[in-house]
Amino acid sequence: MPKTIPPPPPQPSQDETVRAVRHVWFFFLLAVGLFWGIASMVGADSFFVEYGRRNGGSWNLKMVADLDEAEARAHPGGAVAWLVGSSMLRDSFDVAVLNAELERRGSRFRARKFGQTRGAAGMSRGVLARLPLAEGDVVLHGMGVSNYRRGWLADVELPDWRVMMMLSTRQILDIEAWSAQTKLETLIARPQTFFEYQEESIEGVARWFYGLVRRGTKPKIPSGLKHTRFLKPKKADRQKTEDLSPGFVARRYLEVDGLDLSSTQFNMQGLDDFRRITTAAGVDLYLFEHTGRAAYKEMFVSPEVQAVWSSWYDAQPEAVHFPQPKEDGFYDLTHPNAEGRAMLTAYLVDWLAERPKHVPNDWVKIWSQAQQPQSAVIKGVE
Amino acid sequence: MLFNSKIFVVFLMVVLGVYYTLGDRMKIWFLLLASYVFYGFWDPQLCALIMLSTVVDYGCGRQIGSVPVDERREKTKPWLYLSLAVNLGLLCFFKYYDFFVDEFVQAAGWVGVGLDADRYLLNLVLPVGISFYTFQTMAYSIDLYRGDIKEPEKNFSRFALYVAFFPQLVAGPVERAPHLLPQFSRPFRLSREMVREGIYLILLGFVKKVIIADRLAVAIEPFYLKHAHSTVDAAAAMLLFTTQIYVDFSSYSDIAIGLGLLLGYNIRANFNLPFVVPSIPERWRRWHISMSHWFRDYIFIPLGGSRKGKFRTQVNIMAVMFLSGLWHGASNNFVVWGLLNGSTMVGHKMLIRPLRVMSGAAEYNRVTKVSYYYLCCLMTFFTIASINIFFRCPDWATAKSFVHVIFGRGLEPYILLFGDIDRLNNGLYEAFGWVYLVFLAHEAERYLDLRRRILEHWSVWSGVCLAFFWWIINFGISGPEFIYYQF
Repeated sequence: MPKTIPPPPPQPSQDETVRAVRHVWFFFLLAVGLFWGIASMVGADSFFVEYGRRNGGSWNLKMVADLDEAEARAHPGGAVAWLVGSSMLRDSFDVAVLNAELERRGSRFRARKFGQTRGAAGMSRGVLARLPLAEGDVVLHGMGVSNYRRGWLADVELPDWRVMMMLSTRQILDIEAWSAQTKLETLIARPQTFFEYQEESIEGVARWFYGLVRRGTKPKIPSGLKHTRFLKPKKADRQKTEDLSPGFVARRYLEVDGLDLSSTQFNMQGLDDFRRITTAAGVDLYLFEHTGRAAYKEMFVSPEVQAVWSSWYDAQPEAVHFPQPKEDGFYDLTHPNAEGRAMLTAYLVDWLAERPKHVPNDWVKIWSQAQQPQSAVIKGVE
Repeated sequence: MLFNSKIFVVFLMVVLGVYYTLGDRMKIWFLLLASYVFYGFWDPQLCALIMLSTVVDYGCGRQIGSVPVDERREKTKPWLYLSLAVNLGLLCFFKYYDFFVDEFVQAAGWVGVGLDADRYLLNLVLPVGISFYTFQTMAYSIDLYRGDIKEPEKNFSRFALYVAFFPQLVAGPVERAPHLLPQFSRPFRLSREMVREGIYLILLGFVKKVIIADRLAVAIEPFYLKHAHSTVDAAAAMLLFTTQIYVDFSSYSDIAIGLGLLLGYNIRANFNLPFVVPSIPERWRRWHISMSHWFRDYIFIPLGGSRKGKFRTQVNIMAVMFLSGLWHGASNNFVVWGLLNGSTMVGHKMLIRPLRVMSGAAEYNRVTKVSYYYLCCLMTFFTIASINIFFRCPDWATAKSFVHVIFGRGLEPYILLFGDIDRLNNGLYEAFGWVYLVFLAHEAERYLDLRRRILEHWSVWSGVCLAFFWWIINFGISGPEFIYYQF
């Protein structure tokens, strides 16, 4: 026979109930007070966040906050080429080399770069909105077909605090890809700065703890090298396509019904905001494509999608074409390495002068020849 | 609505704030409304399913209960069958329809009949909690039919609350009517001990979930996204997952029981220190107790239990574990998981004599006794972890790759690991720190009755809760949903 289910336990008295309910209220108020006290100590410039800052978006916002506009425009002509986009854009251009060459040529432009992981238009519009754009500037944004995947926001699993960090309340409410529940979850996250910087705050606490316990020294404040400059991987580190499992590739393969170029797609909404912001500021917006290695397209993008995407891209009034590095110009399937970056940086210098829509026919050939060891050339110095 | 979400914290504050001010009758209706808001937050349409189950079982219960107890088995079968048909029908349709279509199409392919699965698949999304509340309501109907419950619940709001009670709605514990239903009829009472225990359990649950389980999940996730390559990494991920699922699932139960206490209700424990146990049957006595008891009382015993000879007992055990596997998920992985668990239980029964001899020999002195005990615990843990490969891997091919790399390459990779710990992925290596912490806490609870000591002393309780609260604030409560939400 089944074992007998025990009846519920006896109940306390009415008087005890009254006291217990008061207890709950006391602990509730205490919890709210403690939370608010702890939360108010966390923000963009709080102590532990300075030590724990590691996210590209956070670094971009810090760079924007620390940006001295007067210094940025101190050169003759005072125009700025704002490079705003994803990690692919971050790895595509060496700004130090770029600005040195622009200065050498007497260009009216100097470049400032803001690239972050997952920094397609949907996210990087948050950075753009904070930049001190002025007439005569240009904004350059890189686009990759995979960022226009249906359900991109859910697919890349961006934590809501990263989105909160970048976008305004109005923009969050307008995110078509998010359910009402997710938007509500984001909107009640108050104080907002606490939730935006909580991860980095705890990272800073961990670094302090690790530094003091393991090394007996206080940790260094990260200088953001990873996000203000870039890594220099060796050729041997290049990602081999055979490292990717067939299951992973199959899941990531982009078919036509997986592409979403409608106005409700998160990064398409971002692109609309790019246009709105640059138009309002009287600034020219240019889009260029991150195509990645040929192997990337073969493995992850169907020919039909490539055709649809190319057709759509060419129809955009802001679209320009940049030269694409060779297969060994990438350290993985999509991010340029030092070689690829050298070429793209050199092209951007030339491009800023005339801003042609297409790559001049002989540009790649001339540049490749100039890279021969005996020639004095611009090299990627990272 | 997820427990580990900001919206739930606000929801709970509002619910408690209003709840304590209401009269007893209004409390039931208010909790019912809150439970439907909680459940419908995922998708309001899901409320229709739970309401259907509620209405059908309330009606069937009233009909069964209107017949004298000793006549129910003769006269009320149709009402019982209706209850089972509706609940099992809902469960089978949403959970197993696509699985069986896939299997049928595959089987048809073997005999040369080509069928297009896409024509028949509905790609149904499993309603959250359906596996739990359907079992809870079926138990009520069966208990009435058997006469274990003499009188049906006549108050619809109380019965509806029994089905939809939000603390345990989505992932258990599967409460039984004789324990939970009478509590809804009693006046609201709360004690300071209940408040202390409730707050402690809620905070403990969140700490276990956001600080331990989610970090283990992050460490092992990459290894389950692709086929296994490294033996030691796969083995480590296998062991870490067994820790993760214990911490994750038990944390949900802790929060559920804690919430129940703050609302003035007692929900029964669902875990009784199952992490370090010396045998498989002992583990099942302590793990997901409410579901184990459900299967025992409504499947194992009606099949004959252990009353019909050894062979029939083994068959019954295998049947229960097969169904348990199927309950967890509609895939071959879960079926194999269930059958392997059944096999280990049957194997244990068959080896019971030699095990007893060894256990007796180990009683030589305290050292041998303790050593033997923990050796058995280690072997049990490894066995459970090995079986859990099929639980965790997303598909059959990945599970096969894990089995192959872990068991098919001999001992050499493990021997080499002893000489060079750097062979193990750094993230996995660090994650074992959490396993050690869980082990220590588990044994501290067993030997020191830690929870009782914490609850008995205000100062200790305050310090522990403050530490938990600080941890939770800093680590955040948002994160992946609880593992058992998917069932």
